Amino acid sequence: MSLFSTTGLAAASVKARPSAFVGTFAALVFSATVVTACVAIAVSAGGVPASADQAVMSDMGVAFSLLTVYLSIFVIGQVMSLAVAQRRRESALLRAVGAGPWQIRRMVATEALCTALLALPVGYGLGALLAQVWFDGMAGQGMVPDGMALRVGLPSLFAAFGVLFVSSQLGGLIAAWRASRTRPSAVLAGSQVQGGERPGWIRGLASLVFLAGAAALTAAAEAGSAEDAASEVPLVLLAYLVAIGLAGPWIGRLATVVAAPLLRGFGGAAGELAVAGCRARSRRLSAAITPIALVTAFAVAKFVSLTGTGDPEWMDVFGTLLYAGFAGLVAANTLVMLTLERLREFSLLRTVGADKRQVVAVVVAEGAITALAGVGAGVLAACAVMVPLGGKTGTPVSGLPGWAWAATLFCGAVLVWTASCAPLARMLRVRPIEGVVRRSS
Amino acid sequence: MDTALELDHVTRTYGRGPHAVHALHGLNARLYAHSLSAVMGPSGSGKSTFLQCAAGLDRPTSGTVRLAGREVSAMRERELTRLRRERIGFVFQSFNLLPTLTAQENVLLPLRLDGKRRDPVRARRMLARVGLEGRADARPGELSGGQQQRVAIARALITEPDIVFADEPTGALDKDTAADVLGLLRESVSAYGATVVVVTHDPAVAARADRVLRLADGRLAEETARVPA
Repeated sequence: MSLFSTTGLAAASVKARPSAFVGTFAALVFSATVVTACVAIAVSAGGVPASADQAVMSDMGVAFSLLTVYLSIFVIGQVMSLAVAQRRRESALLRAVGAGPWQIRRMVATEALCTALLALPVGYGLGALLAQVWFDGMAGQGMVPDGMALRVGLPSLFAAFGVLFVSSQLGGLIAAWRASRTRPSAVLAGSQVQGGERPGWIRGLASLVFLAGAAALTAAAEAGSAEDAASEVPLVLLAYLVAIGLAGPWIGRLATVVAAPLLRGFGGAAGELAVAGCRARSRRLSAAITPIALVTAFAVAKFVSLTGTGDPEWMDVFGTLLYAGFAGLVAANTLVMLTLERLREFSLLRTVGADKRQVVAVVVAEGAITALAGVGAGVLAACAVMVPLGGKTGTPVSGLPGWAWAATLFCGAVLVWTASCAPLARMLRVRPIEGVVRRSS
Repeated sequence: MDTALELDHVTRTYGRGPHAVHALHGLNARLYAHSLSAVMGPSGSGKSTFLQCAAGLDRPTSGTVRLAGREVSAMRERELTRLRRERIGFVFQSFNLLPTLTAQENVLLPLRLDGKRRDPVRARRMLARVGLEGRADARPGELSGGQQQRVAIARALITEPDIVFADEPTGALDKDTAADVLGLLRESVSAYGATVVVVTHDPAVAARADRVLRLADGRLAEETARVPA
């Protein structure tokens, strides 16, 4: 049997779920774009005679390339497993009619490969553009070594292909493994809240361990030298973010409790529905909270550390944008998916008498809770790191102007609202009775 | 007998040209208030389209639909939403309830969406009427299929609607539970004067209906009224 013998199934599944395809496609294009640009810079810098500028540029290109590869695998795995989780029901049905777990895995792998092949040329083209912008920016700062010219060529293309292939297959594997474990009897589970399972105590314990670890790391960095402290900031931040990721369901619940009086008081029926929904689906929401916290924490920490340097360096700016881009992509994709899986719920609301505005209001109110949880957790993590360490590295948190805080909060909220409302227009065009009867979106 | 629902030469065509599908083909039908009507017919006979058009969820290509004397087919989206909220109740085969809300909150939902105050007493009374005393705080996941249908019926009745549409309400239930749910629909007609229209395949439903409409090819093929005993 050839690799492509299940393409019929894979292609049909892409057609049936354009949104899941778009999410994976966007993640793959983004990865290919950044890899192409980073490798182009690294290769171009490697080709000129050694000098101080050349070393900086070459190191930077290599460092970013590695970082991108790592982030790509993480992000694509995340996006794909969500796309696959979305069709649990269909996988269960396939299993029920006799498909083996390996057949489902192969279907997902084929789908991933086809999507990667489509994403490659788009990402490569955008990457060439990005490399040019990056290169011009550095040239403007006088950071480009003499005689260096930008070359985007085969090395970039191969690197991008390699990253897409490996990360899509790895991501597909993780995703498919989950899907293939679906028990055929899961087809019948209808009235359960998705993602409403209670988070286990092991998860809570692990979160506390990471929290303690992060605090210990902070104390250790505070005791060490200023340079060490500066280099340890990302590590400590990461420890906090892992703790946040693990504690996601509880953070979601806490944010719900905080926002509940306001939403109940002024949000009417939509506010009540949002509160009930967020409380019941806290585990599902944590998938969106984590990347939002990630992008917020890194952005705030970076902004604070930039207040020390008079002129922000290109590398810092680019690196922050890179983190923010990947994390924002995951967050947006997760939020779109979370909205999409609720067609039946929204349709039911409409048959009961909700007008379209009320459905939108529910999503907006839930978005407020999600943004509060994600941005709030991210800001807290950044402060937990930068308040003790910022003073030491010469960049106290108080140095960050108020508008920067406001901008961070605003961007977080806009990201959440845009992504969660994006699929609504299409979903509200489905006639309500059809939406209730339909099994999946 | 008052007319609850009247369809006059209703046509609904999907698509155009040679591929057009005539889901309803000049359907004339009349359903009476305070009675249980069953709409039957094979798949593709136009049952679903009938339901969509009658409930104001879809617009007929031509013809008129009147619900309690008001012309539904001429209403705008906003009026239709209000109509659904105040005058119509729905019960589906499955997925009737929001899984995140309790039974009581589900029952109160239509009133809350209408901006009315929370009225737990009213909800509990309604739940008691459908035989669910003491289950007000249960979530749908904790209720059996039959109990979920009972909550759905309570929600459909709480606004005292002009008409309740039930789309295969017994389709996902075993025989005994289905009989219970059917009994409840029957009772809401005879004891409380509700008007219920059940779209179904189930001959058991038809056997207990006051009036049975059989559709075929988008037309009314046969109409039988039960002779009062």
